[in-house]
Order: sequence, then structure tokens, then C-alpha cells
Amino acid sequence: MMFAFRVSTSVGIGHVMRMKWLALALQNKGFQSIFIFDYLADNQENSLLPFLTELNSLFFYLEKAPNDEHEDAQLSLAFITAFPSIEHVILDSYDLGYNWEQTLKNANKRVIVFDDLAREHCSDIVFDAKWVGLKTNERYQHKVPESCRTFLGPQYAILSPAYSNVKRVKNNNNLAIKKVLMSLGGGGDLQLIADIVEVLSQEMKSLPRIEISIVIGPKAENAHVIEALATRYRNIILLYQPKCLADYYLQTDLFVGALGTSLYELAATKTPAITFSIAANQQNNYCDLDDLAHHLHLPFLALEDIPSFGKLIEMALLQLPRLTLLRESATVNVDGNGVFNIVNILLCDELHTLTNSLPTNVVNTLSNDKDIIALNDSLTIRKVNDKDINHYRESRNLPNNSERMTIQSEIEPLEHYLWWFNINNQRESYVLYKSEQPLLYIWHQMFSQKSALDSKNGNCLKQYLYGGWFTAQGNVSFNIAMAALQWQLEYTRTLFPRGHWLAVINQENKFVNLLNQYMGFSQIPANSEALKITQSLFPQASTSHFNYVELDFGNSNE
Amino acid sequence: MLIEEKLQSFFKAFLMERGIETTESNLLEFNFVESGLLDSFEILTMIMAIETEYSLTISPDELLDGNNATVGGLLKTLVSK
Repeated sequence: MMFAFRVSTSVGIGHVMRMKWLALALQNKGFQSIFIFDYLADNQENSLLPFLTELNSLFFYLEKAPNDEHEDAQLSLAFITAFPSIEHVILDSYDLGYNWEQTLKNANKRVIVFDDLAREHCSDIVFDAKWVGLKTNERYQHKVPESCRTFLGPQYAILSPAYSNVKRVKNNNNLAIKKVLMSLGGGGDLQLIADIVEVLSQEMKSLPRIEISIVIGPKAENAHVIEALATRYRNIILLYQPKCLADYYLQTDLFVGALGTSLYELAATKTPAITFSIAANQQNNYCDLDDLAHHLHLPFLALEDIPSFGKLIEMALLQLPRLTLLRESATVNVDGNGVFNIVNILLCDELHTLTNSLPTNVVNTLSNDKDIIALNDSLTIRKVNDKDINHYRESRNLPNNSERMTIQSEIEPLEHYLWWFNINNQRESYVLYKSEQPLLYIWHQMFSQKSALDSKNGNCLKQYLYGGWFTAQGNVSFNIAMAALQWQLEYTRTLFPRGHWLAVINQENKFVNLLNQYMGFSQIPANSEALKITQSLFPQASTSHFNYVELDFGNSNE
Repeated sequence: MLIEEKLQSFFKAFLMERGIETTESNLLEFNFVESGLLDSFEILTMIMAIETEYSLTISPDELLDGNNATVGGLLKTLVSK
């Protein structure tokens, strides 16, 4: 039995590499294969061969650029039919799909497809390693025939054998040189990396000593820009077309770059990372990335954002233990054994005995029982931790929250990360759950101010408190909001017995205005010190749209 | 008039003012949380009115209890105070 691989080479080398590892695993089991690549103009064939040296396979290239999928299939079949023992044809291409598969099936071939875009297929098997949370198993519903078997989720991620059973060596030496690995994958425009490095170089004086390794992929653009940069900065190391990054990931303190194949490689090596998308297949929901403990990701990186992005890298390097802990908080584990799982399926005659085993629940793995406060039988509250970073932003941006805030515009990921990791950020946030579902976030912050009024008590520093709450999903019922606010007031009263709460509430939010009145808040008098402080804390809250209210624990205690 | 009767009259009047017609037989079963006929503001207004007019207090814990989401359930809790 032989296998034929039809692999796209039009976008980077990600498809080539993952099929190479699969072919190698099959080869190790005694099965040979052929590869059919896209038509390549200008005799570029040799550019792929250095990546395929471990394989004994035969490599073919389409002799011309086909006009459509059917023609591509016919051209591919011309190679395949030359090998009568080829029964299985494996397709990994964004350019080819349903029609190509149909042609191969009509030629009595067993068609196996690798996809991560949840497209329609008529193949015999679909493998898709993409993790989309608890909906992973639903991705191909109504998109494949009933006879098609789908194998979905990270346990089918194909990584190099170098990622199998890896263990990260912890670098606890704060004075050691910090290693940063930057990569856009096999392709990408390296001008972007150069711009990031230039910004970082401005910050380097305040940073620990860093060493930046930059991957130059085989299809990278503007490699010369990076090469010029490397002549200026001695701490830049260029990695030309590395066959495998596993060792680099394991040794680096921080990865910065595009999120493609790297997503699962970074997860397997538990490498702290800040990534951004440069292609459609790199778009992910934040909650799905959170499950993989990949928390710092931007949907795109605009040129004007690069200075802020450099600042984020600097913050990350200064707080590496925090990022390392976060990286270890995966709910869904990725290992390097996906290729073995796939080979077992391909060589197994009893496919119906194989089922997916995906997680059925996701939890915050950074919290533990002692962090959880029970408000009653059904409500719990716990302090927010770094694993909440994306859910916190997404909740805050829900329209029913943002339209009532002093800043109504959406908070972008980069801005949010910079705020979250700012060492001067003193906000204390909590999340309230009902039956393990997050319902709302509630936060407070203390602000000390010299107070002339309070100095008569020998207490010149007045502790002001301000805070707020926002829902985590849709609207929250009145009794939940009431329980949360009561908890917050009791909690802060314990911490700051003479604290003085200040708040601004959108005048249109009748319920919250009434709720605060119920809890003892009253309007802040005009010309008072409290009013001035509130205005300075909430400069965007105009008195024409917001009510200014206060609750002074000091007064209410007396 | 007994406190129970006073509260029952209060609930009936409060709901009627908001266009919610109830009869003697269905008033006690009326679920003011799940019916969707009263929003959070109205429910809190109702709670605050009870506390002010009848010097009774209702804790958030009591309001979270599903048994107190109906007029009859809340009435029973209030009368027992």
C-alpha cells in the first residue's frame, strides 16, 4: 500500500511540513508515498527539497498551472495512476477541495483531507486539528457526507517528532540573557519584524540583556532588511530556513510572531508568546486560544501599533515568570503525538471504533478552591487572574456594558494587554459565577489623597474608592447585581473602614442609579472635595450624562 | 388590617399601576422575576417601597432565593419577619 500526497505550496510551507511529518511516520511503518506539489514557475523546485531530506518519497510537480480543481485532479491522477498500489490520496491545500476530491473518488481512490477552515468536503476522512472550544466537534456538521469520518481537535495536530514528549527547562536566573524568538513562519514580510526590532532597540536600555533570533523562512519577503539590521545589532541572530524550531522554542523566553503552525508548537513547548495574525487561517476566538494557554494575541498588527507592540514585548520580558505561569495553564493540552494518532487511524480498518475525546468543560486552571468565595448556595466570586485577561476585555466590550460607560469605544487587545500588564495597574477585579457560569465582573480601586477635612482626625490621607461592574454575558438580573454590589461594599468596608466610595453612573441606567441609592449612595454635593476628585478620576463623565454619587464608610460608621 | 393583607393589597396595586392585571387567585403565583413584565428597575422600586412603607428589610440572599420570586413566596418571607 502506498500513499499519495497532494500538497499546496502556494502559501508558505506549513502544508508541506505537516504532510512531510505524516509521510515520515508512515515511512517508519514501512509505507512509501509520493508527493505532488503545485506547478512552480522559474525552476523553484529545489527550494522545497532541503525540507524533505528525511523522506524516501518521490516528488512531482504539476507540469502546468491548472485552470480549475478538476484539471488539477486530472493532472494529479496522471502521477498517481502510475503507481497501482496507491489507494489513499491525501490532500492538504486551501486551493483544492470538494471538486478535486470528487474527481479522485470517481477514480476509486480513498480520499483523506486535512483542513482547518471547516470547508465542505466529499472525502472519506477529514482531519482538522483546529480547536474551537466545545464546538470543535460541530465544525463539519452538514458539510460532509454521512460516510465521511471526521477527526477533529488538537490531538490530530501534526508536529515534528521533535515536539513529542518535550519538557521545558526553567530559567530562573533573572540576570541571564533573555532570549526572544521572532518568526512569521515560512513566508511573510520581514519588514514587519524589522520594524518591531527597531522599536525594541529604543527600549533596550531599560530591558534585561536580550538576544533576538529571527527566522528567515524560505518564502520570506524582505530578508535583506533583516540582514541589514543584523549588521547593526550584535544581539540579533538570523536563522535561515530552520527545519524544526522545537529546540529554539524550548530555549527561548518569549516568542513574538505570526500565529500559524506555531500555535500548537508553542502550546506543546509551553513557550510564552505574543502573536498576531497575518493570514485567514490564523484567526481564532480568544476563548479558544485561552484554552490552549495562548493568551496574548492580536487579530492584526497595524504599522501604527508597532511602538505600542514593542512596549508590550518590553513588559512581557520584565514579567516573564508571570507569563510562564500563564503559559502552563492550558485546559486543552497539545503534545507532539498527533501524527501517531493519525497514522493509527489511516492504518486502522475499524474506523468506527475510533471516537474523538474532546474536553467537555473548560475551567480557569489558575484559580484554586481557596480563591473562591461562596456568596450563597449558587453564587461564588473569585479574584480575577491572568487567565481571565481576554474574557475580561470581551465582556467589557459587550454593547450592553460599553454603551453605559464613560469610555464607550471598544477596547482593542493591544491597549488592553498594555493596561493589564502595567505594573502600576492597581485595579482589583473579581468575577461572579452562578453554577460555574461567569455572570459579571466587579472591580474596585483605591486612591489616596491628602485631605484637609480629615486632618482634624489626625488622618491626613483620605482613602477614596472607585469601581464598577459589567456583565460577562447579556443582562444580569437585579438580585445578582444586588448581591455582587453588597459583597463589594462589605469587602471594601473591611479593607478600608474609612474608605470613601465615589462613583459615576450613566443617567440612563435607571436600575444602577436606584441600586446604588438602595445601597446607601447619595449625590455628591456641588463644590465638594469629593466632586473634584470624582471629576479627576472620571474626566470623560460629564455631569449632563452621569450622576456623581458617594458613600463614605467613615461617616456611615459614626 | 393584618400585615399580610396590607402587603397583598400593596402588590396588587403596584402591579396594576404597571399594567399587570392579577386576580385574587393568581396574584400569589405571579413570578415577578421570570415573568419579564417587570424590569430590574421596577423590581427594585417594589422592594424599596416595601422596605420604606412597612419597615421590613429584604436581604440580597432572600431575593436570590427562587422561592421569593413569586408574590406568594415573598409575602410569606416578609410576614415571617
